[in-house]
Amino acid sequence: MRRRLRTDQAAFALVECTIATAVSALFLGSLFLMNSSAMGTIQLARESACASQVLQQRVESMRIANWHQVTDTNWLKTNLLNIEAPGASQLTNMSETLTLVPYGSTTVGNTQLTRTNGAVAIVSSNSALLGENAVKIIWTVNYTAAPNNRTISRQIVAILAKGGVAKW
Amino acid sequence: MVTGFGRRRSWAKKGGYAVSELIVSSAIFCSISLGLLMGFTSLQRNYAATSDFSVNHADEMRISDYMAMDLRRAIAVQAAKNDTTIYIPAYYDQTGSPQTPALDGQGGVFYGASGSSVKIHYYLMAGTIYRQQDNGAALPLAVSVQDFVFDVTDAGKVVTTRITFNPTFNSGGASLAATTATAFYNTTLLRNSRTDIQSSVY
Repeated sequence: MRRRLRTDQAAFALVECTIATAVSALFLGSLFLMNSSAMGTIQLARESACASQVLQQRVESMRIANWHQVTDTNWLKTNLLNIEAPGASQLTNMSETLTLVPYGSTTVGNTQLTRTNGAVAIVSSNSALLGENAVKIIWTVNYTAAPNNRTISRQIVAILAKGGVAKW
Repeated sequence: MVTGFGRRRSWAKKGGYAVSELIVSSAIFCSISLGLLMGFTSLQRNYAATSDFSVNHADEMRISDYMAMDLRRAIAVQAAKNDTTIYIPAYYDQTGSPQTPALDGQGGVFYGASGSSVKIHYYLMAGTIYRQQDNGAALPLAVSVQDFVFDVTDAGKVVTTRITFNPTFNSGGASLAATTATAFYNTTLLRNSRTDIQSSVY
């Protein structure tokens, strides 16, 4: 009877302690993982906003140009794409692609320029764009971002016409 | 006697922990508790800093949007750090009704009385960024933003706004690089012909 009483009052067994520790560790691990995930999401949102503001500024900078300039591949290369948009330095491995497509006509042929690591290259050029009444501008920004350094792509499309700009 | 001795040995086996065992277990307990405490504190501070960052980022975007809206229709800009004044045409009268544009005879139009405009003032005061239209009540755009800096760069036809704040992830204060990384830019083309720059021709 005395021995049974002492057994009832015994402390926790090693197995119980191990399970409790494992549960605590799992809880804490989940908490830190959740925190890390939330940080990643915020980083993603920040970079996404940054890419959007880069695109917004690029399209805005095209509004200032006249029709001759907008349709001139060399002018675009030396006046628009020669410098990076403010805030672009916050994006990792950013590259930009600008494509001008004839809009509302049967003209074939695009003008395309790329900017990678600060170097601008003319992929294709169509001088016939000068004779068009409108062009479709497709500006794409690619960058690597969290999580897992994936390549993210954001794009803006605008219709630019002689005498005015209409966002699409 | 033999029985008694055996009994005592049995009791000794069932005795409490030795001092050395207690010290070791206490040390382990203390180190784990310290780790937990530091972990929880870190999580809590991180949560506060993350919330602060998100709210400030949203504030940045809102202020930037307001300023871009006014800059798009601006006819004059007086740029200064945390204190920018923009003048826009008087599109609406005192009652809020839209005014009919009138030709100025020089290829332009004006709203209301010729030469009139609406003054819009953005300023940071006592930790709040306000937007005030003429002498009306100032509208608070963002509160608790004493660490915000909004800067307007006037390049003539184009005006660029840059807004930054100090993130609170580092207890020692935000570094210059961390503050720079919070910069939110907006480049706006002024659609209207400027009255404060003679060379402004559209």
